Amino acid sequence: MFKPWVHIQWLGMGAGVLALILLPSFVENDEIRKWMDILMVAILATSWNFIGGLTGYPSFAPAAFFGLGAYTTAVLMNAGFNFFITLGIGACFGALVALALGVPILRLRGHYFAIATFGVAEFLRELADNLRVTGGGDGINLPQITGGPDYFTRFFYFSMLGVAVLAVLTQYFVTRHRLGYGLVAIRENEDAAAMTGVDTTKYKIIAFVLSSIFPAMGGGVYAYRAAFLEPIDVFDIMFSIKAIVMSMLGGVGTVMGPVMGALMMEYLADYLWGAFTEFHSVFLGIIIVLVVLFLPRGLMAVSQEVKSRGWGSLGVILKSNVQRFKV
Amino acid sequence: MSETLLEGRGVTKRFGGLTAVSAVDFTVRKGEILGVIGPNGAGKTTLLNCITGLDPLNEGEILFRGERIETFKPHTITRKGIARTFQIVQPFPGLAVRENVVMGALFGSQKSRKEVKRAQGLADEMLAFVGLSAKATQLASQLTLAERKRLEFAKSLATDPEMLLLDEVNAGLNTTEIENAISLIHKVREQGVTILVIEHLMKVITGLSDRVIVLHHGEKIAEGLPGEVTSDEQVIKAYLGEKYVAMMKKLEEES
Repeated sequence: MFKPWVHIQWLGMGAGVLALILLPSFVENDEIRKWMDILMVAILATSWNFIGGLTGYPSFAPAAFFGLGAYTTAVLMNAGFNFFITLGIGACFGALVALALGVPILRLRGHYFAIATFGVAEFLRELADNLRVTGGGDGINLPQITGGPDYFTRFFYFSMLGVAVLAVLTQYFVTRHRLGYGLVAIRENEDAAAMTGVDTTKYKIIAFVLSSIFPAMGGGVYAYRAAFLEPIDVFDIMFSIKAIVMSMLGGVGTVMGPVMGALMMEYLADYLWGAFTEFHSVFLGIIIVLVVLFLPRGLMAVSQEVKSRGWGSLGVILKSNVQRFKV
Repeated sequence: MSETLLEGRGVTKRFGGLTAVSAVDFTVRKGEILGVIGPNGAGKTTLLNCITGLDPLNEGEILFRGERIETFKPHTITRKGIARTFQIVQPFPGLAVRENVVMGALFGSQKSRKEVKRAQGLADEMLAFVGLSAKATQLASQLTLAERKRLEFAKSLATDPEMLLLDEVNAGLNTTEIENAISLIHKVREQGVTILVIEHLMKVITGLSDRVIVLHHGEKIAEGLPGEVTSDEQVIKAYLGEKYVAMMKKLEEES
């Protein structure tokens, strides 16, 4: 986040967004759906980066907020609300829940915090499983979108793209702003951050709230598109794990890292699915372990180091990553 | 006599059954260097932790510019104008040296330094002041101990403090490095910053401080000019006796 390649980032981001806007004009609906999935996990990874990457608090809550947003849209659309309004309400609801949860659980650190956030997703799943308004374990139907497949594929694609752009832009501005510096200070040394004048409690809560808003909106789009929700579908802990692994793969704490990570991971998963249908999750698991072992700071960090030290030092860099992790 | 900047009245801090700081009164006058000495476990660092809000007091009050601050959180106290360094240095290890100091400039002051660019400019000034400009782009974790202590200085100075608390800035340094650190402390005072310094090494503190207070088992047992205090019988018994001799020996071995 502190590197001078800011302008390259802007250009890259602009070109990327333009390509994504033009994409549906050139490819089949199948391909658009694939990109919609990439955008969805990119939203989750980017959002996780606020709390996990920048602030250094390993949250397993993305699934919780994703499910919360999905159910908010489902319940409200059944009550006759406009889809986009439900996204806004879902975002606010996610933020409120994050605020209420953040005050107690952000006192915890490390593993304890991780377990607490894990519990939040499980708690909400149980709630959705048992409440009447959410349809309980039977699930809940949403109003079907009208129009042909060409129309609604694009409708959902552009909705997802909008949320993703919003998430990445927010992250970009946060990292350039005082807020982002404060979050990084907390990650690097929380006590020292407080002594330097950072209001750590407030900043951690802001980070947690930011990490809740976009998954909730993404969940809303997912819900309308799926037209049917079950608690186990949307409060799936895999959403959280994917968000974390993708951020790590791309580059924890960087703006574009989680997006790149999401792109690579989804393409990889897609390829593995095609090549080894039966064992694809085994390979995926191996890749997750390799990423955690060799790339805890992500490909972005490694590529930066390779750029300054040359390809010959790649082995040394990877080795030092492993050693860093052992400490 | 100049005005009082920081004042403690009956400052008491207990950890379970242990009274680490017991009813200590102290005043720091604007512009002076106050030394706090005492053997290991005398409560020196705890006293600093009380002032900076890390260890909330059990009893007593602390006033900064006449305002009671003992219930404030650490970050609020920093913004009021009290900065500190730690005996065990506390850098942001994964960030560049310059970014470390930027944090101080961005968050430490109530003045309008909230723009990242201005904070970076100020950080560069501070790095030049402590002589770390050449290391600005290195990671803080790659610095030597002496350099990390300088970084602590720069970081706390970037918060634009009126009062600086130094916790054993010389611990672990060799003689040359200690001399550099002392000249740095004098330079800081010349900028108009009031300093409270905790120190183990008697030689250092007598040369550095305008006044000295002596802590022993959490209690203040003496206060006065460095010359007076070192000849105080109670102080010699409590602190300078065995430990002083041992420490001087250690210092000689090191140098």
